[in-house]
Amino acid sequence: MTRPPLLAPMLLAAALALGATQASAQQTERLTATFSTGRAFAQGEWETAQLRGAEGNDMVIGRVPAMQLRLAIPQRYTSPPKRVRIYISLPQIALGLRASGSLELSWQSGGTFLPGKLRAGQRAVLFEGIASSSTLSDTIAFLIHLSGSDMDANLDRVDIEPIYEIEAL
Amino acid sequence: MRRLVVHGCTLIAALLGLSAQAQTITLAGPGNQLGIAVGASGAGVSTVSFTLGSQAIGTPVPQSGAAIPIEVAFRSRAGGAVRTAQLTANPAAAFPNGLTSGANTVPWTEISWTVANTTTNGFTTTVTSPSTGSFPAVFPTAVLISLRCATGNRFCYIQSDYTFSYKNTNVVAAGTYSGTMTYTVSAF
Repeated sequence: MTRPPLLAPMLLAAALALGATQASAQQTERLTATFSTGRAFAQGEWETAQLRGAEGNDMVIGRVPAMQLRLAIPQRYTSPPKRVRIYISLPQIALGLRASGSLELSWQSGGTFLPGKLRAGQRAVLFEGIASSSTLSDTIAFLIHLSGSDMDANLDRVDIEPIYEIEAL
Repeated sequence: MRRLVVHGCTLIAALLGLSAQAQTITLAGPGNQLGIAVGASGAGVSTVSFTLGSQAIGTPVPQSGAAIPIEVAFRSRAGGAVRTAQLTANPAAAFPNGLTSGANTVPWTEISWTVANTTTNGFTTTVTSPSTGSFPAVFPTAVLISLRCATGNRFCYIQSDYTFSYKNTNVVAAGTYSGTMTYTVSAF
């Protein structure tokens, strides 16, 4: 009989804290993204294949083959359809990177999404328009640029996790 | 109590909503890269010639030819383990024993070289490169260049000018003697 009075303040506090989170989430809300290929993989290559005259160039490029990027749009943006803006951003930290200063992610799209490029910690507009269905998808081909010096040799790979966020306009 | 239960469900649903799934883009590290250049860029097979007058043959005064640059470069990701690249030489299959002129042969041991103008272009590199040498009777040669990239180096490089000479030890039949030597760089 003593538990409900204790539980009530706890949940109330949690609900209040959640209210603050939701308030900011009304600005942008994270979206669930899936790739049609299941995984996106790029075999890194040296940007300059020739060694002669390329001294000091340790830039690595990785081309991800074109695939479908599908974004799950919550119902509150589609029913009724709302004008929305969707962002893509890169975290400052990526698994396998000792430093992210050289990392650049660029992409080409099929026309629904906007092409663009990002550095770690930056955000770009991926889509702006009416959200009318529960899935927004387009062809996308990512290109990764980074310095080989920034790679953690012990891991031998870099995992980049772009974040997709939506906001109603 | 009913109201509290509703709040609890809302909280759980909201927390689930916050855990939107991310998709990972994986970039695999590039492989190590090894390069070699013998002679001028784009020059095809570089040639060194020695022209001996009849009075000079077998004197034995060495006859020097032109200098040929040889470059070895090795690129790896930073933080990699110590890497070593080695340069050796082998005669082309058509000239296993030496330079030939019809049925006559000048053995490869008659060709020597000196090394000058070695540069690593400022890239920290540990180099073992004998300053002189000559082709052996039995190939491959000893290691002509050993290029060691220490841990953390992403690029190791060396360029040297090799000036070849004909030792001119023996009198040989008149003729134009030709042979081809192939340089190979390997890393481990």
